[in-house]
Amino acid sequence: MDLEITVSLACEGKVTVVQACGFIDGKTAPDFQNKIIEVMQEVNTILIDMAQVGFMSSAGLRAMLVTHQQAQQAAAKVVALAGLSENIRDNMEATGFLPFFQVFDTVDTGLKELG
Amino acid sequence: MDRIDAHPTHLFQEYKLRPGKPYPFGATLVPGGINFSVFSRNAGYCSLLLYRKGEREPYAVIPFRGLFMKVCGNEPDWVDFRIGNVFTMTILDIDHEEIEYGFRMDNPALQHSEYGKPGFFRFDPGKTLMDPYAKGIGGRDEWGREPDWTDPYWHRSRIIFDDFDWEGDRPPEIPMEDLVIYEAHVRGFTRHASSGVKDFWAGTFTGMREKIPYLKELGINCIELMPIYEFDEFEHSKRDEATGKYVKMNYWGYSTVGFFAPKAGFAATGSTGDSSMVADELKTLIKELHRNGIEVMLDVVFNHTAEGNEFGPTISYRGIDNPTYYMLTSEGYYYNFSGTGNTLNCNNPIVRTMVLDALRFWASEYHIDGFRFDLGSILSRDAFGAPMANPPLLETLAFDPVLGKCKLIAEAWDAGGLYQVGSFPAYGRWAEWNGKCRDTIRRFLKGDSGMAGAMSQVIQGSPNLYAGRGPTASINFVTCHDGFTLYDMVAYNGKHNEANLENNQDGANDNNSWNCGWEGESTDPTVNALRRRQIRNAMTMLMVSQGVPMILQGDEVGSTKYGNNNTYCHDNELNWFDWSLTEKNSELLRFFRLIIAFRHAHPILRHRHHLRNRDWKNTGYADITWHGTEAWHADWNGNVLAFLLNGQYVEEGHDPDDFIYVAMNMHWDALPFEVPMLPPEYRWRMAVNTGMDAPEDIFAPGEEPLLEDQQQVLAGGRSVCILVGRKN
Repeated sequence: MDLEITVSLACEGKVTVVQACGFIDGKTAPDFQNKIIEVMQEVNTILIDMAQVGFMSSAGLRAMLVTHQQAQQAAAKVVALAGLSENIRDNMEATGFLPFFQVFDTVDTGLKELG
Repeated sequence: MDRIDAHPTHLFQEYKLRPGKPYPFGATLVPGGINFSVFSRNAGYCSLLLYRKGEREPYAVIPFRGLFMKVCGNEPDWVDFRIGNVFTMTILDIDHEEIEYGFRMDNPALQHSEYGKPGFFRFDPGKTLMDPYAKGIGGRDEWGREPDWTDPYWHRSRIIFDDFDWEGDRPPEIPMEDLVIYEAHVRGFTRHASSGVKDFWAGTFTGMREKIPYLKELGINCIELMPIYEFDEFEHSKRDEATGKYVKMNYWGYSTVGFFAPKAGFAATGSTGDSSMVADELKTLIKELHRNGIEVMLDVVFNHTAEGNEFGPTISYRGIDNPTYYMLTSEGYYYNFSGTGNTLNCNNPIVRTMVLDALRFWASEYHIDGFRFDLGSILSRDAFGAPMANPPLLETLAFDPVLGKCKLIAEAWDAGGLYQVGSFPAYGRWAEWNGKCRDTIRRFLKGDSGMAGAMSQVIQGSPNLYAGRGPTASINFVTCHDGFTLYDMVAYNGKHNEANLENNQDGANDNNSWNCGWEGESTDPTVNALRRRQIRNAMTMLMVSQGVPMILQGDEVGSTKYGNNNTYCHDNELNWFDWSLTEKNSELLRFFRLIIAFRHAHPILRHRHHLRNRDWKNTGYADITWHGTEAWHADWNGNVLAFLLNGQYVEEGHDPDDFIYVAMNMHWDALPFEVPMLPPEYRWRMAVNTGMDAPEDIFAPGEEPLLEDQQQVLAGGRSVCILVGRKN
């Protein structure tokens, strides 16, 4: 299954919401990672809306972590996650990827916190 | 910069490929693709089979030798993708997450053995063979999920990411003498409904991670995991025809399918079918254990594989090179020094390298701190089963640079009658499970007379066995997964293994146990009080002995297996840690925590070198002295023994310790022990008295009350007292 990525601005431009829709796996993870890093060049705070992501493989986990690490290297940049399904959240927790990220239940709560 | 070898040289159908690299063996992610490499000395040809995950049939079968199309020139080219005895090629442009792979091998020129018959070559071109170096293995992804038995490929090689973010994790490298080992089973630790972990985590690596605070509070600093290499829980399983439920499973897992892959069914993420997640989950557990100062040791089974004997399944090794991987008789039968059907040919140079590669992989890729080798004596046998004076494998492991800081521990016996406790080829590195320590403590504990002399050796770290090797060569234990739990050891005279459905014929008979007057569960308060005391006595003896103590998961809360001393096959409450016992037996748990804390608090209990029984520093007291009910007079033929450790004799790097006096009265009546006189200004304090009820059975370090009578201490019948002597 493919992955569609939509980028929009929120909170008067303070937060960029990247909505992912589909699967993040070995096929789609490179494009996903490149897109986030591209967006990161222009903005400081990215909130990734994961509510429409049905599956994330270990390649997807790595794409996430690489974007987080790149954000950390660029001072004051943040990559946060919102709307994780229980399944993806459990897998991220079990594999140790979850603690790297700020995680919000929904995009709205994320925007309140980050905006 | 683009690499030249990221581009194909040949095409096979639509698949792009190029000559591979023989090292490393297995499947390796390389720029643009995957390098495959597999050894076989006797295979005449080999094919690589690629599967989409979980599918029965391969979507590609690519021979390592044949007619390929050249990319440049688009003309046919006869190629042999082989270097020496290694078949190797690189396949480009495939997504490793989506595939499983295997090999198919044959040599029509060699006589093939029939199923069930002896023979040397077991090539079967109809079988897909798992890669012996597979880092991920599918097929049993979720514990206990019924496999499709008609699937022609049971254990399926997978490729994993090896880029885990360890966040600077380093192995703790805790000195051997400071270890307190906790032997645990990943599934059994949190599978019980009482564990309190969420369903998704129950019985998994993550479930164990949730319980790290418990382990830390207990005070252990090394967890030894029973087998976590991929195994098949359905091997030799048995189903109840009436209920349809499995009544026997390969629960313990002492039967390796693959030496490089973690047991997927032990991972909560196993059900995803993503072996990288399984690996990441285990690494996350290890990282968190290290953060909490706990080392991770693996119980590894290199003595045999899950392929069994002539009647066993062809999974990998026998279909690749049977006479290389297995010890065979001159008639072609499998030697059976493991008691399970076959014996890995460990000292064959190829197999030796595989074992070394596997251990290096676990030490470097998973940050494993040590290994305990199941039936380790097999590793000292040659290809015909004869014990070797200088076994190359054991020497190689002892001197290997990557394993240079790993603990190496042998179960120094095998099922073929080789018993090497005290004589395992050590090369200055190897420690041993000290089975004689177990037997001695058990016999002394139940009051056998004449055990005081043997017990004094255990107290000193068994210098009778390990002279020149030091106390750290001795892994001291009273219980382990094999045999009774500590509670059962004081509740049963004989084994009760009926649930194993082997007519109570399996399991050890030399248990050296005593039921304290009633076989099994008892409502008699006198019997139960004595059992509680005996458990405390055993644990105290273990913790005041030089060497490395090991305790069994659940003993700290009085776990019972109802007299079953061989629960290898039970995926149920017999093996699952019942967390409600932490409340029910909280006083026992408190005792365990404090006696472990006592050991950590006293470096005089943790020598690297054997005590000399002399006052070689001229301090007024020898490093260790022996006593009976009368100070300075030990009765070596009785069931009473006392000893005094002089805290001035700690190893270099420690401040002087207290005097420690231990009186062990395994006589049934209370006895007064005359206490050795301390130097002026020193006073005796009571640290442990197993004859007392909680909380006066043990006091936390620094909170020991002053002994009223400084001349003697009354040790109750079958009780142990520990006094500490210090100035304040």
